[in-house]
Formats: sequence, structure tokens, C-alpha cells
Amino acid sequence: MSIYYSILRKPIIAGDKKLKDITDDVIRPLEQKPTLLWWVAFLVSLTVLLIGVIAVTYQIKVGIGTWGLNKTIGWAFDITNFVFWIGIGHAGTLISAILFLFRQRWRTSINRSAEAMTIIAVMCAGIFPLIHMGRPWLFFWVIPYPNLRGSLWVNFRSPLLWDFFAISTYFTISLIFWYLGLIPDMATLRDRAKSKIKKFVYGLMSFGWNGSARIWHHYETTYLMLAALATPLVLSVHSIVSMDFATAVIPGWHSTIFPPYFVAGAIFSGFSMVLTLMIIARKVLHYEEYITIDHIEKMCKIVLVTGGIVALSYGIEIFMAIFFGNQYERFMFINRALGPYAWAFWIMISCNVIFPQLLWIKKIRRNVALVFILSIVVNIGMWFERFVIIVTSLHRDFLPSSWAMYKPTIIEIATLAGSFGLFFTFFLLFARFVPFIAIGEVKGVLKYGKLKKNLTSESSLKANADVTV
Amino acid sequence: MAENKSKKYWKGIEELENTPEFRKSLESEFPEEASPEAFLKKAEENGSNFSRRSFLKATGFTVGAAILGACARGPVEKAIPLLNRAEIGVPGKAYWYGSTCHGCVSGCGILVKNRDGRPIKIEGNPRHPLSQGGVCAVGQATVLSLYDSKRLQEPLLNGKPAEWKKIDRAVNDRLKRTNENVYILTETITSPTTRYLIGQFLKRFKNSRHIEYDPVSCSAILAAHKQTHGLRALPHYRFDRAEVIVSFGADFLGTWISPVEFTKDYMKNRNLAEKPPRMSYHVQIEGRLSVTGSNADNRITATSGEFGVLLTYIAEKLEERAGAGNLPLKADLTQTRVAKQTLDKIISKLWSAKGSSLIVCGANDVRLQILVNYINHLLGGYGTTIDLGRPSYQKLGDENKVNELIDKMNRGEVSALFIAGVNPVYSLPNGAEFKEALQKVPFSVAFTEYSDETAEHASIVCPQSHFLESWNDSEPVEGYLSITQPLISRLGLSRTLNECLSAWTGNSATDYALLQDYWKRHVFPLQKKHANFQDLWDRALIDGYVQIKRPAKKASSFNMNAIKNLRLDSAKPSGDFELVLYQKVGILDGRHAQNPWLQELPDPITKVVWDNYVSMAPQTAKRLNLRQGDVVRVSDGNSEMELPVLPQPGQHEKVIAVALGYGRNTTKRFKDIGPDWISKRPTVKEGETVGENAYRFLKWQNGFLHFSSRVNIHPTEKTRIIAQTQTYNSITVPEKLGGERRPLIHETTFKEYKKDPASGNKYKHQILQLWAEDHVYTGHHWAMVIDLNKCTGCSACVISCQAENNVPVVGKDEVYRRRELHWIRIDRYYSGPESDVEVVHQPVMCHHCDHAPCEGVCPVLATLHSDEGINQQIYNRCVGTRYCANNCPYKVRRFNWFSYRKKDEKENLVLNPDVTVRSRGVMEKCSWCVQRIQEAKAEAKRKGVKLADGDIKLACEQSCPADAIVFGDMNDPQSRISKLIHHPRHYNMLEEMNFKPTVGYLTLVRNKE
Repeated sequence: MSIYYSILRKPIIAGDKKLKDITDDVIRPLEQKPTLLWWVAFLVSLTVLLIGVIAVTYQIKVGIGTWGLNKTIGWAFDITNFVFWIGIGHAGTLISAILFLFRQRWRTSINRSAEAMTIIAVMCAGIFPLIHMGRPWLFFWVIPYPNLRGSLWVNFRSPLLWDFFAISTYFTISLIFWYLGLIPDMATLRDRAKSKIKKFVYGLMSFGWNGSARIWHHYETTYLMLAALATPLVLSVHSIVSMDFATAVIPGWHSTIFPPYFVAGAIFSGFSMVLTLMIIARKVLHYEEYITIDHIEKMCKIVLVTGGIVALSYGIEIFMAIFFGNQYERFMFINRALGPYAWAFWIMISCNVIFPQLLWIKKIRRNVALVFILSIVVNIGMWFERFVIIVTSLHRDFLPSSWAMYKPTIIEIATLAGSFGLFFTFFLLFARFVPFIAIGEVKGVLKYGKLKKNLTSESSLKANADVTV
Repeated sequence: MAENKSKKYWKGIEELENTPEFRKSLESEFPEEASPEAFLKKAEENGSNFSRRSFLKATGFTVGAAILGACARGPVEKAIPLLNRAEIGVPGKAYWYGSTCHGCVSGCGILVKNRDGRPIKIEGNPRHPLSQGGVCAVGQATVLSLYDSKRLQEPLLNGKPAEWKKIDRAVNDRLKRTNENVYILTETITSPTTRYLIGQFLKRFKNSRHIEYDPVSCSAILAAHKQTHGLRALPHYRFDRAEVIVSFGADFLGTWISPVEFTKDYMKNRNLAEKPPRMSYHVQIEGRLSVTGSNADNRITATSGEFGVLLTYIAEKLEERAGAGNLPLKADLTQTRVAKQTLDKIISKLWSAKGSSLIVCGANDVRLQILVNYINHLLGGYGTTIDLGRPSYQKLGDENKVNELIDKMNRGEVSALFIAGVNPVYSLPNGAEFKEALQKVPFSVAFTEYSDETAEHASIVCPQSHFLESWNDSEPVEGYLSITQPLISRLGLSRTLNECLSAWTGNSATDYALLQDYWKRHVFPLQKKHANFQDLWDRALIDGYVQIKRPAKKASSFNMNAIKNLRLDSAKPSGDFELVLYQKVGILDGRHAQNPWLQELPDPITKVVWDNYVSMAPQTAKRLNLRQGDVVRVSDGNSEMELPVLPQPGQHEKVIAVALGYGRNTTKRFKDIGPDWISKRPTVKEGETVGENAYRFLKWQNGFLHFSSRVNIHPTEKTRIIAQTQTYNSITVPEKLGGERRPLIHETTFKEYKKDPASGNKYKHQILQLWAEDHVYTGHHWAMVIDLNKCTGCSACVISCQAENNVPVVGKDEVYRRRELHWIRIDRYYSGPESDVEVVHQPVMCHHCDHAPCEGVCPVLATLHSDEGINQQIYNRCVGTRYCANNCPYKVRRFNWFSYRKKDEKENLVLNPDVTVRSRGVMEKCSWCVQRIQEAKAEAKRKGVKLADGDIKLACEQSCPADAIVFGDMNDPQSRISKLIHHPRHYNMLEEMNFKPTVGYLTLVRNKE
């Protein structure tokens, strides 16, 4: 392991933090009483979640007919929301696993919260395949388990089954990965806890962490291995989700480009969501020194790159439709762009292709307010991308006699809102009870313990020091 | 205590006194000693000699007798019944009975499926010479009405339920006091028995009449024949003999007189399978787009105001050719938009097919009908394509008589009025007048199945039995007498008209006895085939009909005076539009408006359900700035109605069309139909009816009710939802999205077809099979072929499928949301310019693809392929992901969005027990009537024979009046289906996608230039 430090790079964490400062800064919100702002945000989120719960309960009691679906359009808001949330759920593991393997140390400021976002988003996503079933109480039939129904088994050819495996695996690994990273911080919390109950609970959750070098060594090894395990999952989940469409015969779905296209789209939307959340969090929790403008700019660059891949995919799809001369495929694209759902298509294009191009400009990348707006724009665009793929492909397929239109009902809108309610409720609880930033990891990117010898000599270098292992 | 001990309680004065008598009686009552000795001693004391020996003897005898008695064989309880088959038959086995449909006056022969004592399905009777195995949507749906719990259950006397005895007494009392001016108003009576009984009933009264009246009348045809042939009769049209057909607005494939028979006959002359192939030439001249018009080879749009000119011109030119000169009229072709060349071409076609050409006209205008008769006469149609010797009895009504009746009622000259099967308050344009007049009649009796608009005002309402619960007969065309037999005992306290008449004539008898009695006396002598009556009767029950020979009618030769005196109106019409009133194939004249199957049957042309509307040409709608669903007020000066607009391609721009049969009181019940949830729109609002009554716009003219009148329309601010099962109508995609034609319909012209049978069907693809040997069908491999050339779009298959497969009704809002559940639909596409469209009807059901896209995507294996090529849906395994429906390229899968269970349990009796009723949240679709396939296979196995081609008839196939659908085993090289699959006309929809559908189509061949 070579150690060097660059005088050209700014430190990842600004403000010349001491180790104790970091612990204090991160844990401060947990040890204080919740602020009024938190309460307001939490109650609003909870209310929206409850509205969603009521909508879903009603839908399960009365039937899928309470949604705006019909004989032509069998999926719309349900699967749109599902793919949207799964896409959001991509950034966290990408940040914590892939960026970890690529030694992108700036990830340490955001990986904890991004992973939490991932887990919550996957939970939000997981609800939709469940409630979109006509008979959700029989969801366990999708699970291949030994049963007493003779040789009745599941259909391993069905992408929906692959979905089940892909998502459950991804969720499990993400959860373990997140929790593993949490253990040292739990120990910190335990050590700082004043009440006995807190001490006990945090003690349980930290699995008896004692901070010894041996423990740290085990920890680092496990973390590295899990990162390696999680990396292929980042790519596989959305590839498999895309196969829900790619294996179908419907023009607009039947496309081999979908797996990479969907993965890029997922990272695109996931990073946008991370940006949205981080920009709020750094402001509210006063983490500007941890999540710096540099962090935001780096994320913007990833958004720009993945946005480019998405735009390219759009282009290739259209090219293929024209090039191969399949009249149904060609019509489908013309219909998307000029048909009754053209508005959705153009929202998608402008949000995903046109507006993100602003990020080429450095000034905009470093303008927090603009980046915040753009991150929301991209998320709107990515929601519409899924809507466009699902609804505009289905609504006018092969036989003109069956062409139909789709309009969401109040129940569907409430369900979509409810999923956001769920997301923010859980995220606010996370921000309240779990260190928002990985204390142990952030400390690792400081210069402490790495360059002791040089520390005393040149203080001017200190400010610009960055350490890469 | 001691005191207590000495204390003695006594129970009666006797005990207290303790007299010797009391002690004695006490002793005999409660003997202190019960030992045998004491007993015997006492017996001796009493003088009895019941000794110990006697006791033993008695004991011995008793025990012995008991033992002997016990030796007898015990009563046998028969635990295994049905050693001899019970009357009802084998439980679970279906029995079919021949009968006659009374859904309308056509009188089609039917077979009724009886399962466990319940009639559950109606099919055409293939032996019946008129309907020839076809049956229409209405006939199919009548079985649902049988189990309608809103049918009248008991007679009403002054609006209150009463027993039949009371009713009989009331009627008989009343009739005793009256001896004249008794009237019976009925629809056309096709039953000779009923006609006879009406005659018997009326015989007693002076000055009494039986008046027949049809809401949708053909009286002008009858009146015209009275003038031209001296016989008031409706001729029997023989479309099977017609090579050139010109129809002026007569929807003979849809609703006119006897559409099933006409469809069967019409198709005989459009048989491409014959060598050389034959195809009649059909011209339809009409203002709106009818089912018949949609099938015509040459469709010309003209208002019915132009019919006179066109007919005159045809007659004129034919006279020229025939060398006659009787016509006093001269055609002024400036009054019509139809080009002279077009007419000349038609005339030469007619003339060259002399003797096998036929002109029919749907207008109820006697002058036009006289012209039509004259043209048919010039073409030599009488005796060939028109049979006046054995006329039709399907429409005999004379609406003018009703007007006379109203006058009599108003003058108090009607002492008793009996109304059966008609609803004049609803169906007369002057229904209100009738209602008022009815209130002046001192005694009125209505025979009806439902409490309708007329029955509400009658003193006595007699619930009529459904035809599936009564004995009757029908003679729709002279000589073809078919029988109606009951399939179930009556579900309410109803009676038939025959029974009521007999009860009130004095010799009360059952309808069975009445029918047999009439047949014995009046039918048996009219035939020679059967030597004794029982043979005739049995044959009638088995076949469903008998042929009889009545004394020939004397039709005189053509009376030229009728032509010579003919004058046509030339008055300039008022009003902006010509309103054409028509019947829809499901609703007809409104008699079945309460039947939800028929209300939810998509109109074959507009695909609208649950409503009537103002259809107008799209260019007219554009001109008036009206869009679909905008409500307009239609008024003719006297009446007004507000209905939504529906732009209808192919309609004359001066014509608006509104369907009759809507606005019935009986449809108020539909406010609750369909699933209940927060965003539900009711099918009808509280107190409202389905659609509006358009009968008010029928026009009285010279004693005839005309189906067209002049009206104005005024836009209103209101809009109304129109629910359609198909909202995009063209086979080409929208112009601005490329305007490409979808290669789903392969069509050619007859001329091209004669040169090359594969013409129009060149769109073939090289299909590669990667694993061709993987799924080999060693046994049966079922397939279906639908002949696009035969399908008229009549929609009989839709209702047949609904009845067979327990398909629920979902209500207007659900259809509007595109969630109807019909397993078979008929796609209707337009091509060509909006003003002059060509129409194609394409039935689509599950295609049972051998490479089914739906099967691979189901996560729980709820849809699978059988080893006979059937795509099976396993309802109880389905979790409802709807992925299969999304992935179905034909969009034939239907989802149970809600629980459609019926609240009314009586209606559940109509369900077919062989087909699962699907629960909420599961997918369903056409199963190819797998229950029928299994039944036929089991039957063949039981008999030990090979399943023969045609043993399996699917519900849609069986009911099709055009025989457009063929189902069979394509692994059997001799089957019809194998031959059709290899026919050059055969193609599969989306063949290039390699789904390998097993439902195929035969190209559409139009007989045009």
C-alpha cells in the first residue's frame, strides 16, 4: 500500500475536522430532541403514507378494478412505480459497492444514507408487485417452495419469477451490507449512550464491537467481500426487471437493448434521488462540510454520464425501429412521439435528455439550488420513462380494435403518493435513529494516522491534503 | 321436633276422615304388597282364574309370536335408485329438446339444453327447414329472461296481487255482463293454436275483433300485395334463390322479418367452396349503415326520401327492357345524388339475373312497396325468389287498426280490451293517446311477462309464462309448423295466453291439452306422412316441427291497376335531417330491453352498448361542430328527445339514425348493475331508463307507421358517455402517425379470386422452427377457421358464448373503461373514405397459439398448453399478475377486475354447471368450450368409436347463422378444418410473429369491380 498525498486535491471533508468533531457532528442530531422541522416532515410523510395504506386496503378489498387498467392496458401505475423505485434503489449499492471497489473515497460521506435510501426504495418497490396481483393473498405461490399441491411448481421461464429472485437477493445483500457498515457506528453510539436502555440496545446492535485491530481487520475483509458480491447485483437487478418487458412480444417492450438501458437509467435516477436527498440533508443537518460542493459535482458528473447512456438508448431504439422496418415497432415509436400520450413522451425526453445537458456547465454543477431542481426534474423524467415504456407500448399494440386509453384513478394516485410517504417516513426515521454519515469511514478519509511525519512540517499542505489508499 | 313428628299432613278430606271406603280404594290403587302370591290371591278373591299356568301360557304365546313376527323379511329400502331412469334423466347429463324460439316473431327452430331440470342454453335446430340450425343473439339471450326474478310472479287485480281463481272469476263475471265490443290486441300471432283459441273466445261476443299490431311493422308490404296480388300477405322471401339482391334499407341480415333464415339462405349463394365458385351480387341502398349494408358488395347511401325516385327509375328502365308501359311515373334523377351510371349497372345486373333477382324494401310505405312488387314482377321474382303461395306469417300486423281502436275506445265502444304481447303505450308514436283511451275502457286485461308501460294501466295484469315453460306452436311460414315445449315447470304463478283464453271461454284446460287438442283436430288432417296422431306428435317433439299442407292461397296475377294509379309524393320535405328509426340486433323493438346480456351486446356496427344515440355522418358532425357524446335535442315539432351524438362513417350526411327499443321502464332496474366502487358511474341514474324512446318519432302516414321522418337537431350543453367495446375503427393507423394499413384482414375481389384463389393472400412469411420436433401433437390438434366472407357481424356468437361460458355482465361504466368480459368479440374495421366506407367483421377469440406468448410469462403456471393444442387457463392457480394479457398480441384475455357475483340467486340458475364461475382477480378467456370437447371425447370413448369430425361444436360455431366458424382436428387429414387450413384463402393473423395461432381466417372476397 503506497501512501501519498496530493497537494492538488482538496480534502474530501472540509472544515479541518478533528476526529472528535466528526463523531460529534454526525451524532448530534441523534442525541438532541427532534426539531420542529423534523416533526412536521415526519407527520406529513406519515399522513401521506396512511392515505396510501387506505388506498391499498380499499383496492385489496374491492379489486384491481379500482385502478384505471383495462383489457388492453394490464399494467400502468403499478409497474411504473415498481420500476421507478427499483431504479432509485440502485444508487446506494452502486455507491457503496462499485465506488468502493473503484476506491472512490468521496463516497464515504454519502454511502450510509444512499444505502438507506436503497433499502427503503426497494421496500417501496417490493410493495407494487405484491399489490398489483389480482389475488395478493396468494403471493406465496410465486415462491418455489415444497408444497402439497402435487408437483405444482413455479414457472422458471417467467421473468416475474426472476424478478422475485433478483429483488429479494438484492434487498437481502443491500440490507446486510448496510448493516455491516453500521456496526462500528453502533458501537460509537453505545459508547456515548447515557441511558441504560440505549446502551443495551446499541450494545446488541453493535454485536459486541470492541474496536480492536483484529475486529477492524475482519470488518474490512467482510466489507470488501460483500462489496464484490453486491457489485454484480447492481447490474443484475435492473437487467432482470427490464426482462419483464424485453422478453414480451409487445412492440416497445420486445427489445434486446433493455438490460443496459435500464441499468443506466436506474443509476441515472438513483443518483438524482441521492442528490435530492443529500442537498436537503446537508442543509438541514448542517453537513455542508461533509457533503461538499465537490461531492455534488461528482454526482452530477455521474448523472450526466448515465443520462448520456439513456439518451443514446432512446436514439438506438428509434433507429432500430426505423432500420428494421417492422411496421408495428415503427408505429409504436411514432405513436409515442405524436400519439395521444405524446405529452408523456416529451416530458420524458425533456427531463431525461434535454435538461440534464445543463450539467455540462461547471457553474450549474456547483450551484446547489439548480442541481436540486435538476435532480427532481430527472426523477420526474425517469418516472415518465417507465410510464411511457409501459403504457404507450400497451395502449396501441397489434390489433387496432383493442386500442385503448389509460387514466389513473384516485386510488392509484393515492397509492403512488403513499409510496413516497413510506419512503420519507422511513428515511426520516433513519435520519433520526441512525448516524447519517458513516463515522468510521469518514474518519478513514481524513489524514489522521496516515501522514503523521509530515503533519508538523507544512501546515499549508494540510489544507490541500488528500489521501488515497 | 317431637311436636312435628306427631303432626300429620293430610292431602284430602278423605284421608283426614280415613273412611273404610277410602282405605279400600287406596289399597287397590297402591297395593302394599306387590308379591305374585298376593296378586294371585287377590285375583282369586275377585273371581278370576288367572293362574300361574295361564301366566306362563300367555308369556309363551307372546314371546313365540314375537319371534315368529321377527322372522319376517324387513321392508326393503332401495338405496340404489334409478334402476329405471327417472323422468329428469341422468343427473349431470345434458338433454336437448326441440322447441321454437319466441324471442321475436321469426319463430326459429331451436334445441334447448336441459341440465338437471333447468334449461341453460339455446341452440339452433339444424333440422329446422327455416332457421336451419342458426339462432340469433336475442334467441340465445331469452334463456336469461327465464330466470329473471323481476318477471311478474303473480296476477294483479287492480294493481294488487290476486289468485288466478279470483282473476278468472273477475273476468268471467265481467264477460257475462258484456256481450259485445270485446277486443283483443296482440302482436302477430304465429301460433295457429292461439289464433284458434282467440277465435273461440271472441265467437261469443258481438262486434268483437282480434287486432294484430307490430311495433315495427311490415304492413305496407302486406297492403301492397293486397293491391297488386289481391292477397294481404307477407311473401316468403327466398334469398337462397336470389343471385342479385337489391335492398332498399331492409336490414334482412340483421333485424328484418326473419334474419336467421335470411342469413342462412343468403350465404348459400355466396359459396366460394362450390365449383365453379358462386357469389351473389348484393346492393344495399340505405341512409344509415346497417348490418346488411356492411356486408353488401355495393353499398349506396341514399335517404329514404330518394327511394321513390330510385325505384321509379329502376321500374322505368326495366319496363323498357320488358317492353311494358304501365308506369305512370317519370323518374327525376335530379332529386337524388345517386349516379345514373350506378343505377344502370344495377339494372342490367338485375335484368340479366331475371328470375333469380330480388328487390326488397324496408320502408313501410305502401306506394314504394307497390313499386317494389312491380319491379319484382317485371323481374319474374314471383314464384322464384318470392313465394306468395306459402306466405310468411311473421308480420301480419296492421297498425291502422290500432288507431281505429283508439277512436273506439275514446267513444266508449270498447267494453273490454285484452292486450297480449304488445305495449302500445310505449311503442306507438301516439302512445299517450292510447293511454288516455285505455283509461276510458271499463275493463282491460294485459298479458305480459313484465309490468310494462301498458300493463300499468290495465285493470288486470296476467303474467305470461316464458316460452321455455309453456306448450305452444308456431307457424312462421305457411306449412312449417313447429312446436314449443316446456323445459321446466313454471317458476312463478304465470299462465299462457292459451290457458287464460280457455279458462275464460268456459273449458279450462292446460296448455298441453289445448295444444294437443288443436293438433288432433286441425293439424293432423293437414298432413299425410303420419297415419296416427301419436306418431305425428312424437315426431313433432323429436324434430321440433312438422310440415303440413294447407289449402293453397289464391294470389291473383299482377294487378296493373295498382301501378297505373300510383302517385308519389313530390312535396319538398321540411326539417334539416331525415331521422331513420331502426332496430338493433340485440334490442330489436324493445321487447327484451330488460335483458342485460342484450343490453351489453355491442352493436355490430357502432360497438356501443347500453344506450341509443343519434348517429350521424362524421362530416355532418364536423359541420355542426359536434363531437361524440355531445347531447343534441332532436325534434320534429311534436316530440323531442335528447341523445348523445355518435359520428358514424358511411352514413348519408342528411340522415341521422336512432335505434328503437330504448327508454323502456323495465330498464330502470339497471341502476345497480355492475361492480360497486367509489368511482363507479351507474349504468342508469335513479329513475332513468337505458336510452330514450324513439317510437315517438314514428310518423303516421295514410295509416302506416313510417320509420323515417324529418327532424331538426339542436345542440345542448350536455354531454353523455357512450360506452363502446371498440373505439378505434379503422384498419389503417391514424394518418398523422403514418397511415399504414395493418395486414390483419386479407381481402380480394371475386373477379380476382376466380383467377387465383390465393389472391389477396400473398402476404406469406418464411417461418423457421427451431425446435419443430419438440412439441408434436400426436393425438388431436384442435384448430378453428373463420370465414371472413361469411361473417355478417350479427353477434349471435357473442351471446352464445356468454350463455355457454357464464360470462358476467359488467355494466355501462365498466365497458366504457374497456373492461367488458366477452370471450369472443367481433372487430369491425372501416376502410376507404368516411362517406363511403367498406366494412369488415372479424370475430376474434383466443387464438390458442402453439407458441403462446401468454404461457411463458405466467410466474405460477396458470396458463398452459394442452397436448391437444388448447391454451388452458387454470383459474384457481391464477394470482392475477395480468402479464399474460399484456403479452397477448390479440388482446383476447379478460380479467376479473371485481367480483361480479350476482346478488340475485335466481339468476344464477342460468349458469352452466360445466363451466367454473370465475372469482375476482383471475384471468379468463376463450377456452374453446373445452367442456364440450371433453364431453364429446368421453362420449366417443364410451361408445368405443373414433371421434368424428363435427362431433364437437363450439358455442360460437353452433349458433352462427352464417356457418362462418369451423372447428375441428387438424391432425385428421379428412376433417373440414384440415381442408380449410390448406385452402389458398387461409391465413393467420400476425403470422410473421410466429405465434403459430391455431385460429385462422379465410380471406374476405367482395363481389365488386
